Amino acid sequence: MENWKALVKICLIGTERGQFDPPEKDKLKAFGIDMNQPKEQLILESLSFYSQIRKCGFVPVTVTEEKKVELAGLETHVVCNKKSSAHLGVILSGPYEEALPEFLNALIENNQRLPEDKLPIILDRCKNKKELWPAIKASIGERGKWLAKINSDWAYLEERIDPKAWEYGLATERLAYFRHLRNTKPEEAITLLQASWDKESLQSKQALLKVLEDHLSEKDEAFLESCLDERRKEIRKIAARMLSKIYNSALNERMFERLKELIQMKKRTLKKEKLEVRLPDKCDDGMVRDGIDPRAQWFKGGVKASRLGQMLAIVPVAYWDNHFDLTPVETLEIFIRSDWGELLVQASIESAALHKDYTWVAALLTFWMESQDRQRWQNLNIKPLFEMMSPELFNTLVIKGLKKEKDLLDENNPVTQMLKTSKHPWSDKLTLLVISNLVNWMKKESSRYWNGWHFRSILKKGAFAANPSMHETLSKNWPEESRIWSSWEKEIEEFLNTLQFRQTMLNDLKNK
Amino acid sequence: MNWSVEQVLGLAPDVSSAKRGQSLAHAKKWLLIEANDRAIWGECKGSGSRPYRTRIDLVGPAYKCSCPSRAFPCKHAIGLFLLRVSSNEVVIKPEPPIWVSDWLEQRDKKRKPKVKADLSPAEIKKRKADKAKRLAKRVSEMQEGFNDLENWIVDLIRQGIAALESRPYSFWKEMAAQMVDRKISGASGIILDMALIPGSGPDWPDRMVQKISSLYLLIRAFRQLDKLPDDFREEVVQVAGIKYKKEEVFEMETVEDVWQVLGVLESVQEDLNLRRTYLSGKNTGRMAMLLEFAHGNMAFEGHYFVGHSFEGALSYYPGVVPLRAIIKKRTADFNAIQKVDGFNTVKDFLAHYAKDAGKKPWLAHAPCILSKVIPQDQKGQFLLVDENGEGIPVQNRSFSGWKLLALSGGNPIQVFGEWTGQHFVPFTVMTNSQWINLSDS
Repeated sequence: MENWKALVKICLIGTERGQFDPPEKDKLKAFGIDMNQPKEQLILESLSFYSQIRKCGFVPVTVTEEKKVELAGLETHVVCNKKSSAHLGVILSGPYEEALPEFLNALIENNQRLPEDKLPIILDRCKNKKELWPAIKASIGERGKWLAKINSDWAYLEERIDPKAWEYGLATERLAYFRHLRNTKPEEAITLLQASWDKESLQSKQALLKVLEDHLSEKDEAFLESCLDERRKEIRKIAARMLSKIYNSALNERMFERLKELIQMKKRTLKKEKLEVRLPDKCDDGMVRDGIDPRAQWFKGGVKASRLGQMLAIVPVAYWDNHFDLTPVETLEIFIRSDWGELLVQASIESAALHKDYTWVAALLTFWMESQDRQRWQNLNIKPLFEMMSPELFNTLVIKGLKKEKDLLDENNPVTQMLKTSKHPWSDKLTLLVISNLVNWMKKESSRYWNGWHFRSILKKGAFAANPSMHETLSKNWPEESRIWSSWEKEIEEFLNTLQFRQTMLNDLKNK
Repeated sequence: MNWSVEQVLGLAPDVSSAKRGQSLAHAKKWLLIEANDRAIWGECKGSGSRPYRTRIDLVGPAYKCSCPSRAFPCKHAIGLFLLRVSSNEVVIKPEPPIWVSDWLEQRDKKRKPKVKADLSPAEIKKRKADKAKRLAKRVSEMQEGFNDLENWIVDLIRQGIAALESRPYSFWKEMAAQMVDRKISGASGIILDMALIPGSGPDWPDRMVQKISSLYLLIRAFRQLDKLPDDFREEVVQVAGIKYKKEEVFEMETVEDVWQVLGVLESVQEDLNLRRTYLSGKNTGRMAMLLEFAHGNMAFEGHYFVGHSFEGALSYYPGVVPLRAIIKKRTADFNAIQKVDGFNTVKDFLAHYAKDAGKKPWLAHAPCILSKVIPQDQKGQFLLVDENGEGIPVQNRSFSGWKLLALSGGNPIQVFGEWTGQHFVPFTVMTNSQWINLSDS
């Protein structure tokens, strides 16, 4: 179609400037096009002629033998039934999106796999949802793995275990190989890293060090300790953080030795012990080497207080229990009584979260839920603990809080915050208490329906956190005669519909 | 009643209407629930003093409800339909009450072609002559418009289409409006399509030139209208924008068959919703396309389930390659399709398409079933490849290319879609066990 190209070119620059080459003219003439008409007409007629040829003479693309696709592997699991597939379609298209993890887990539990036509959307949607990757891998079947091999965007699901990648691969491929090695043979990973450490760039050092966070143990300590003498601050910082995560690391011991100088127990006349807290005057090289930033602003307070806070937040908070020979609850009480209570409690929160100390997590959350002196503690950042909460602790604490509440849960009530932010499923008991808290208020309240505004987000959360088989129980006994019912009807309908959706979704997944 | 719960829920305009409908699918919420073979009707307790009266015509289906909701079908219609499908609390009554039968009658009247009063031969002759006169007048008006159009495209070519990249939308819109004034709405549509082309990809000049040439062909064809053969003249006149009334189409070629729904595609043009439904006749092998429009929030009349068939008669719009049709009559029942036939090789289809495009130069979308093709991804370009190793390019819009690949797993599949002359737009994949509408999420 040389002529077509020549014609399009003339059209682009216009007939005032574009010219026909003589051989092209001859071709057009041979096709019977009248060459004596005005130039524009001639072009238009030729275009019409060639565009028809292009349309009618479309040449298929020839695919050679070697370019032909491989077949996908044979499946070991059945695809879920059509109803489940339709449910998945609804989840992917909007309002029930939060039910996706539940859908995937139930699918896997029932030994089924995802329908093929939904695979591309799921694979794409979950590219950045790392928490869903294990479930995705377990449910996409051979077909999904085959697709992930073809589309590099979906390669996140593929384990690259090519040892050559370490020597010759791109940065991402090396990292993937290193991560794989760390997950399967953690000690070999350290040896490998040590061998090539000096040749690595700053960026790759940072990325590779971070991989060590999984399966961290005493066996990594020697290497990490050597990293504290690195020239670059960025590396030292990561290494110090890793070392502090190793419970009995020398770094933690060193830090604790420093802290013991600063924090001491004093007996007082009224038999109640009190802590005497001294702020660190200096920040010596040893402290800086162990990751303390001398000028950082930590929590609130001045430079010296910030140094103390940083030190406390690193050391396992349980060290203090041993040191004072007290239980976590008792230690916490002493912390609270101190003049530096706020700083000590905030540091304990971070340490408990860092070291996954569940006893301390429970003690801190219980204190926070029950503390009457809200004013004093309102600046605490409690969020790190929310992520550490076990489902049991969440349910126990919230049930305890709800039982005490006679009126509608206040927006600033810790229970409200926990209900709104936690990812844990609600026990049936908890669900009933939440709903009766709302119902009782609706029965009493006659006008101020907006007072319960924050309860809408609790209901939204509950729609996905409550046990869906409670749908029938929960459908009954709503105060439809209440004067504020009409302003809540829609939200409650939504809540019940979501439960019902999840219930049928789970039931349908049980039928193959 | 061969409707399933999923199909009924599929009729809802959105997920929340479906959910609300579901919560109304309980007999206790209704004062009356009755049905016969043709329709379902009921009275639902609402917040007003009077109950809402909901009625469903299964031919279509179509709905009417006295509630104020703007959702269509409303939650009452969905709830009532669900009750009929899933519960046995619906009372079967052969004769519907008057508020239902009146509505059904109205609907039948609208659908049936108007019966012409007996006219004397002279009267018929006069009417025909009048019509021919009106047409001649319109054609001469259009001729003038076509002269303007020709000057306009000659100008485009003279100045060069590279300049079009910097033209504002109003440049196109004004010309399109001028064409509407001249009663050439066909050209107006092509011009509005052209407005979107400049700068829309490296091959935009090719596509622009293609559109210009189709306008030019229309100008040339229209200029010699009276010399054209009858069916081609019909074609040209319709492409230019002279529309047939439904009643006129009902008198054209009508084909009775079992119509199999191959694919449905909804799209939006300006503020108009468009729906293209492709059908193939089980016995005659004829293809048909229903083209429907709905303004703003209005819903399309009726619903077609891909992979199902219904019995009925279609009337075709006249032309050299008749494809567009309307339903003259149909039954309410539908059945799952077992199997459809298609082209075995890409070349067979392309030859068929070339034949049609040769007859009808403005042919844009042509329906196509490819029976045994393997989808492939060749460096980001999707292809459907036949057993001879020959393939056609596929448009990959919202993952449709990847869906094809996922469904095949490297094995041959049967695909239905539209061929635009340059690429294939997939609609539906037919596997042994099911038909999958690729536009579903």
